[in-house]
Amino acid sequence: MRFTDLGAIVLALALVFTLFALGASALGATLRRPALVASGRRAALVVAGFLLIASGSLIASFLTHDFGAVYVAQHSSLAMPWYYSLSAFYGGQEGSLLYWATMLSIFSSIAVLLHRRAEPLMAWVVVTLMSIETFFLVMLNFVTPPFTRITIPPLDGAGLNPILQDPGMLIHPPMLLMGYMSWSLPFAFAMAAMISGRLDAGWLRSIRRWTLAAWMIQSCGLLLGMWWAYHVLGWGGYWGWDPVENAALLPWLTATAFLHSTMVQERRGTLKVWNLTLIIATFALSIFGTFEVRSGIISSVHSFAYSSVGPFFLGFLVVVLAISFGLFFYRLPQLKPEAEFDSVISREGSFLINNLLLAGVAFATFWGTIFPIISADLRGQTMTVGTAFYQQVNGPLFIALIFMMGVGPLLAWRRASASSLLRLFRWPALAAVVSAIALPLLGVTGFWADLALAVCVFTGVTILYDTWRGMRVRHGHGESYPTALAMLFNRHRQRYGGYVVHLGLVVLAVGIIGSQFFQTQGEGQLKVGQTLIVSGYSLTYLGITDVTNNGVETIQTHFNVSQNGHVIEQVAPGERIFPGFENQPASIVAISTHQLKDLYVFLAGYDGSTSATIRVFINPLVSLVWAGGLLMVVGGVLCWWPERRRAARLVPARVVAAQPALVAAGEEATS
Amino acid sequence: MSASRAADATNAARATRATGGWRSLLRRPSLLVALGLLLTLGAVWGVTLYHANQPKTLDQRTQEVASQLQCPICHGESVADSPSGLASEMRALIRQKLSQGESEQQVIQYFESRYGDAILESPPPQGFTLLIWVAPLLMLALGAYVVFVLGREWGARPAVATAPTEEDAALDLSDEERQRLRETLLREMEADEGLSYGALDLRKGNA
Repeated sequence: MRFTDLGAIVLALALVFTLFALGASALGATLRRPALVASGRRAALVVAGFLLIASGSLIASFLTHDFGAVYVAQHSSLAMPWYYSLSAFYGGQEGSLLYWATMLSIFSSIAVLLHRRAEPLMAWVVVTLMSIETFFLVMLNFVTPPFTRITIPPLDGAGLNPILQDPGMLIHPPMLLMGYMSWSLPFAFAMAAMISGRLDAGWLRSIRRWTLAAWMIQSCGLLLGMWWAYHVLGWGGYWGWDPVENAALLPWLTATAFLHSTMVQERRGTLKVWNLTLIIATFALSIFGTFEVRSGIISSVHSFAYSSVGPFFLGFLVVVLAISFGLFFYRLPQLKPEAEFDSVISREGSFLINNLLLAGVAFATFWGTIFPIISADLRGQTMTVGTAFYQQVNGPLFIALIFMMGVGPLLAWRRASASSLLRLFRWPALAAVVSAIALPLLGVTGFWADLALAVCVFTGVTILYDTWRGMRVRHGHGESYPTALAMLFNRHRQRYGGYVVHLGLVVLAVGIIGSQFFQTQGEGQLKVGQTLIVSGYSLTYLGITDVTNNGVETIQTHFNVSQNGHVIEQVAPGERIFPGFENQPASIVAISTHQLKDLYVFLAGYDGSTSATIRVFINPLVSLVWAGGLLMVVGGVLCWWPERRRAARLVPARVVAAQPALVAAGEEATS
Repeated sequence: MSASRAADATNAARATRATGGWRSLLRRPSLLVALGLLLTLGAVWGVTLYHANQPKTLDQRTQEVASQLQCPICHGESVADSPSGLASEMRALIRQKLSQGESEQQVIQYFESRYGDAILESPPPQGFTLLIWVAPLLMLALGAYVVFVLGREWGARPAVATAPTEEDAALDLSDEERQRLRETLLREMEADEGLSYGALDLRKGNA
């Protein structure tokens, strides 16, 4: 028996067990038969086992170069190193869907094992997750089977698309697909809450960490995508408002809104309708994202797998929307707010504005992405919606969002007093105004750049100032400053973790502003010995090298870079030509960082050894984009990390009384 | 007695609002400083904008035109961004035309007449395509209106209606209720880190 046969068998079995888990859980929950529910739960675990075996079989087929399997023959070759053979797993349609299904089954199992106690809700969570799983398994069994064989295997495979033979591509697509997949869990809990009618804050508490995890995975996927685009595509940027990039950003935007508005529901029992809408939208958008990348309905730099699965995904999307919004309207009478708002100038008011802005960005992005399809269908007119639209509409909204990010977390719940506003914001506001005055004098002459940077200063200072105030209060009670900081994070991980995420976003925003407004570029065809000067950097062409290693031909052009007459380094932009893809070279972009400025050199063309055409970009502050992104992920982990049980709660009252008054406040009333 | 403490705190907060609040801000010298800074800001920005109207370099103009054109052989990349050879030739042509004295608009029209509307990176904002800009702005305005209406409702409601009064504090609460209120209050106090003013004042008052 071959690995592919094993894979095909377990895929079929996985579908059977998925259907069983679905039926048993639904019946068990309706008829109140705990034994059936438990059986459904176990079946869900079995599905994960089968899918792991299926994925393992596909990996084994790749590693053993079993070219009798069509998928293996189409996406790998003998010459490929083992790690690219591994990444060929998700290099095509079938493997991507198998990956999606496998990850979903693993996450479902974790949910089943973790939430054993949330009995009544869990049965319906399993039902929802297994319904999603059913769709993917039907696709894998009947529409895009990954284990199809041909009778006469080719001697060598076709190899992997060169664009995918890049270290960034090893982790970017699986991360993004996993990001899309991971929204299934919050969605499943929301569906379970709606089906069972238990619409209190219970389901929200259960998914808080699932949502955070999904948010982090999606953030990583987005950042890796930006990193990959910057290092491979050769146009000097990292975000082009390309349809595929937009599709990945959309669920991230609605989920970010959801993460904030759930806090309002948890605390104040309001915004229930809005929260459900957001989570349904997030899941639907992640299905849309998976489908859009795959379908090729919109032309994009990122699409590498075209196929016929589009209509199936569209059908699934319609079913998901119909069922979830049907349930939603059925339960609408039960979604009454428990409390009323007191004032707009409050934490919940600021979250409302933040949600409005995020929803605005999401809608504009969605609209710009699908408008070419609408236009083509209604008017038969093909068009593209370029970056200008997104910059005009989303740019100001993002600036407002960053401003709200500074204001919101500091406002008290219910109602913030005027004097507290003054106390909280006088220094940040002063810093913002001073920087807005100073920046034009320092050469930042554009209105939007100046405004955006001043807003970033405001929010950054607000976050740091508030953390400092927290430290000072604790210091006043006898803790050293480092201890105070550690204790703040330890005690209020959500809050300060959130601050780290916000600070990361501010840093990232500064990076975007820098590279957006202050990029300079030059282009030229150089003969050996000639020099191109781009804003202070002189690039002198030295010559070309051509090395073939393992069938991969690497062509590199070499340049001396000098500044003020001194040679500071050598750069070597070039391209790689993979066997079988002679007309699809993968570019090697030379990127070097000098004091937060990236020197980005792309080889646009060469004429034998006589001349080379290069494009040179000077990108200020791009490093901050990566640093900020990293900071956001770290903050996300801090928020997500399970909190230790509060030992202090169990400590006798007299010990608590000896603690500083402020620290003790929490325990005092409960002890 | 956390419940009565909460009542004290809200009363204290309400007292501050009644006597001081927004109006007291106007009497502070810091307001004058802020006004001065804002005026300086206006002056600096005005001067900068005045000076910013320098003629653009040929590089900048080429870049601007190229970024408004779609590379005809690529997937969703502008002529400015695309690494393809054709885009490179188009950039060279744009530069040549601009240096021969043609305006940006003329160069764009030249390409439009050759390749049709599809060459434009963003369609001209007129007629049907104006919808691209109008729809998001309409949605945003609608959302803002909803938030505004909600906000006006909240603002109009007297604070007394939701804030606990002396009567509330004097109510004969059951132990469970008292415990529940205490926990709610504590949760809110903790999240606000004891730096939020009601909570801080309250603790000082009881120390």
